[in-house]
Amino acid sequence: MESARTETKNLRAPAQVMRLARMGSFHQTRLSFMRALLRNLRDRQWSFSRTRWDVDAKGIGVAVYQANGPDRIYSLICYANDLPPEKRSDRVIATEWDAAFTLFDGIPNADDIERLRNNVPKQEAGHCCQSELVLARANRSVRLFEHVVERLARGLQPDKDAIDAVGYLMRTTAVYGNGKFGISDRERISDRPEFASAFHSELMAVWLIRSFTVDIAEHMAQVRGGDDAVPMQRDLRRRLGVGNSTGLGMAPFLILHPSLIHSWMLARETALARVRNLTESSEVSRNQFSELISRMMLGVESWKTADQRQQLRIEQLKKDLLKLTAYVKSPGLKIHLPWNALVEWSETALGLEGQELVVSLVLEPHGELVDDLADTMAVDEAQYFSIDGSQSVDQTLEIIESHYDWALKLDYSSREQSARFWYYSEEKLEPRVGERYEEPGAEKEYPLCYGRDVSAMFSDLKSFAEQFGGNSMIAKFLLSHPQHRHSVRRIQISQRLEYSEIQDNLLACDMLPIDLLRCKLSFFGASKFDPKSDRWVRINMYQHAPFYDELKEFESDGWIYPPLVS
Amino acid sequence: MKCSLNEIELNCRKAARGCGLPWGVADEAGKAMRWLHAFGLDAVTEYAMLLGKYDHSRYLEYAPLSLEGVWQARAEILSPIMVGVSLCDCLEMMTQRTIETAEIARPLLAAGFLGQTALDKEQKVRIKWGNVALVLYRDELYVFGKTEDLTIASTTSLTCERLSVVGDSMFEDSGVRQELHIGDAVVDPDAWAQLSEYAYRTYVEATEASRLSGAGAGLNDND
Repeated sequence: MESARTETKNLRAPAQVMRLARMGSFHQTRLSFMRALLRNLRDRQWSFSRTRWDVDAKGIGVAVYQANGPDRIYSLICYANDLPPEKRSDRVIATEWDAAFTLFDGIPNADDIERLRNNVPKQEAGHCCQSELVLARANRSVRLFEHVVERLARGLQPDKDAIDAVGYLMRTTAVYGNGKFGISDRERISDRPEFASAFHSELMAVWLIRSFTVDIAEHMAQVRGGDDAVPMQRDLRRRLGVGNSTGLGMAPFLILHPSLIHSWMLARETALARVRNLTESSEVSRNQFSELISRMMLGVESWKTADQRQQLRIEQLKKDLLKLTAYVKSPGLKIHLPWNALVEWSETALGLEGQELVVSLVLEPHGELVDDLADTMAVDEAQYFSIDGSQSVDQTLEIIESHYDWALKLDYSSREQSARFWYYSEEKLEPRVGERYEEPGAEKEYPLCYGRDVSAMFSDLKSFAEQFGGNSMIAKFLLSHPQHRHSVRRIQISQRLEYSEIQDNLLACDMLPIDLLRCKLSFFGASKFDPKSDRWVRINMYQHAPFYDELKEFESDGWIYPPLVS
Repeated sequence: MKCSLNEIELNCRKAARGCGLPWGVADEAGKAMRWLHAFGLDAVTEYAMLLGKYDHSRYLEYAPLSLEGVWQARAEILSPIMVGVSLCDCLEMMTQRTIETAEIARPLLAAGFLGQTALDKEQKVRIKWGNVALVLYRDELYVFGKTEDLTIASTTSLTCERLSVVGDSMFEDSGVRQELHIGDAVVDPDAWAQLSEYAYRTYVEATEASRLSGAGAGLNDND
């Protein structure tokens, strides 16, 4: 029998976890939102159907997929387009796409479909309303879409290697939620069980989009091949996820939502601690673990990237997986505190990618022990937003010294430590990173560097304490120094929520924005991280996941690891 | 025109920054305007008039000089934004005494700051000016007196105090409970356009170089 000890023991320290290099090595876990969402949909017996397919021979038209839950119905409305290849771009500054989508609250009537036809394909340039929960768009993969259509049209199945080389038929290039462009505010739906956790509405939309990507390919094959055309085999279809291109748009989120990020990190770290605190391992969990390592090896084999840095990391990860295989044989997992010993070993023997993969893998055989934590990954951010003005200046100084010691050590006047600045471009309000000493615009810097800002406040606060006394209320300091208001709020949040702050300088010349993207995307449940530069990354979502017509029969929720036999 | 509450928050936040207010103040200004709109109070119009009339890049001049005594500004009038953030900071102090201000512009907006603060069950607050009073309690808002005074351009005095939660008969008399509505909010298009102009000042002009290097997307993304 496995038994658990207290869960706070063996929690990894924020100073270890909240570092960009480590966060940029995170992999999905069983707590990731895609996986938690599909578990919920299956367990609560949701059913799905395609209720409309009105797409012409050119691939232009409307499709609707309906999701029926215990209390509510949602509909994914898809607007398919015939996009000239020269207009296809994944950048946020694009204005046309191969398909545009909205997740609608309820069942749309004909008027809704027409109203949205004039707005959804325009994306940012259109305007939606509160009945629309998610707005998204996608482009075809030039490499794979035509191959699949061409083969299916001739009555043949697509080539498995071709599918694995890309992994998706279409890439979403933006998936918007929470009030963007007039769509529903998150608080309108956050009390619904299916959407209580962050990003579940967006990820439900993406999961249904995956079905559309296969349906549109089969439709085009049917148009081309007529009676010769065939649908795709299920095992091949399962190898298709939804691609995604993610740029800097996602990066500020991790900085601007400290209490939410804390809840995500704490859930993940608590899950790890619970497993580490198990005094022994069961035979079932050992067998599952060994199988997962083999399946993960397949996953890593099909992890393709042209990015040199990531390629080296993948090579290292392959070696680390071999080391892990050897470890499982000897000393093995039949020892006292087996999972804790494994994690401690990984920290000395494996690279960061490998260490964080071990975190993901050790959670897998322990769903009953950790899955409840997925429900804790949401938070009422307003609770933590208010400043306690009665806190004394001395108390504030103490928190800075204890929680921001990493930040106080840096010299922000040096060019290396202040090389970058974050800003929003006037072009579709895209967040970007500039070179402070080479490019214009630094006077419009966006406040994403709390290390520097808290450090600056620290010296003002010390002067204030000398002049007015350390027992003055922080409210008094803020009256004359409102420029430090965001930093005071921040350190009060850090005091209460220890995983809320990234302990690295986001302005440093060697800072890699993709580390932020990867961390966030791992919580979504993405895989196959394929950096295209240090600022944008391709990923795959829902690869190997069940489609909606397979959800009920799908017993295993370890779907993200490729099957051993295919 | 209709907006989501999130759009109101973001546009008001950036507009504050575009007018020269610090980010930390702008963060709360956005949430304050969102909160007021959630209760059907047209903060966007009030806010646009405020930012249009007073130069908030001189924000310290419109802030209270001291938290002691009657709050007054160095300038001719107090800004409800600068008063609003200080009221939030002084919630604890209000258990000891009522806060009173000298002349303040657009007083409704100051109430929004208190509203967006997470008031726990021990914190019931009354804010009064002219012939109107608002009582804020948990996520409820009650209006007492002359509603036309809600949107006056300025008032010679505003008071703010903590009320006892137990045994208060406030809700049994003439207070009108405002409906909380999460969803489409109606905003004046001219005021919205004005705020969007202010917000625009926070954006950096796009250049071909920033398009490539700033977003890091020089590679072909059509594959």
